[in-house]
Amino acid sequence: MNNCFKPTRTVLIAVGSFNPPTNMHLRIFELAKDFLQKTDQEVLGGIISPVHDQYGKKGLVSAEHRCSMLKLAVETSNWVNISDWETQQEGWTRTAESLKFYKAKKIQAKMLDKEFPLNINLKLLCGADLIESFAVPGLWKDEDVG
Amino acid sequence: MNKCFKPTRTVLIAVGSFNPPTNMHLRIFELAKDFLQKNDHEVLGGIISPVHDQYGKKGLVTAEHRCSMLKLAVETSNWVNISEWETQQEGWTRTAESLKFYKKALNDINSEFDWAKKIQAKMLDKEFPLNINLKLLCGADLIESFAVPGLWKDEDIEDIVSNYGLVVISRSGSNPQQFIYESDLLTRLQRNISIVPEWITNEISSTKIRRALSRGESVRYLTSDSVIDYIQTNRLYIQ
Repeated sequence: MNNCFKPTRTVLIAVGSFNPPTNMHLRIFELAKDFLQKTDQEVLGGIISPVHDQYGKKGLVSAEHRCSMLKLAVETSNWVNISDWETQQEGWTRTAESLKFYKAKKIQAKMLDKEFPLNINLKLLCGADLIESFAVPGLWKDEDVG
Repeated sequence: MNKCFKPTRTVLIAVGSFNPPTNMHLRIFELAKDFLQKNDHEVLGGIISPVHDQYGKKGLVTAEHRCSMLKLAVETSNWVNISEWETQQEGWTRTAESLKFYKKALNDINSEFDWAKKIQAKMLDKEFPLNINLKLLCGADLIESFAVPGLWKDEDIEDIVSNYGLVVISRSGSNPQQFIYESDLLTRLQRNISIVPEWITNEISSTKIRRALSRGESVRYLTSDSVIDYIQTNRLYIQ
């Protein structure tokens, strides 16, 4: 049987404070999706994962508020979702840990054929500032960046 | 009897193609209003006046479409209105002529125009004469276009700046102050030119939106969802 070419199934995830969510946050999902779909990736969906209150940034409003605002922000989107998982943990979660958790979860509804294993790839969506922050001493563990 | 200080009653008007309307178009009204209200103006309302089809720019969709999109774009605004007046004239109207018409209609208590009635309704005390001032809201590109040979009549520039006034939203990379400095005419009239800095830089433009649409790319969050739905339903800007 011929194995037809299948695009890579991908989900985009963005982490951060979203204090408050802005058009820019939603716009980067659109830009990434357009880009990836031109390079043989099937973008199944997007996840916005707001950070735990314990992250401690000055002026960070409560997770409850940030999640409510995010739900309003994605109301009209048919592919970006909110996850309050990080906000419900005991404390702040390292990005590498979050990615590990999310990879295990699935955005299944969008998939046309539910073959097993689901083979969903997760890509961290971010701005150049996040990449540049890798250089800040003590902010990231080297093994997490890898 | 003491005469209390009264802020200047002002209406902002923006002209252009709005092909299509974008979040940036609506955003400059917000920036201008905030700025003027800190400088003793009472901003009663805003008017968007799309240009006549005859203006002839390449890729300009019909006035009917542009007005429909504009109405959707201002749906949730409680102070910016659309006027189809320019699109309903015989042909293209010079900006100075439009301003003359709009100022007169705004100050006419018997005006039949929706936008005039809505704006007049905002006035707390309707003393006569209404004394509503009209200011042309624009980007630095409009001011800079004053230098393009043959594009503007000198008397129109003088008329627009001295009898109405400009509110110029200054995008990063533009330098309207320098342009004013280099023009004797504008320097003489600089009291009537407000430069509003745009600290949250907004690079959205209709040109870029049309380009993205022609490439099948998403324009969500660059203009309102209702405008995007309209564009898709009417298959605008596809090539």
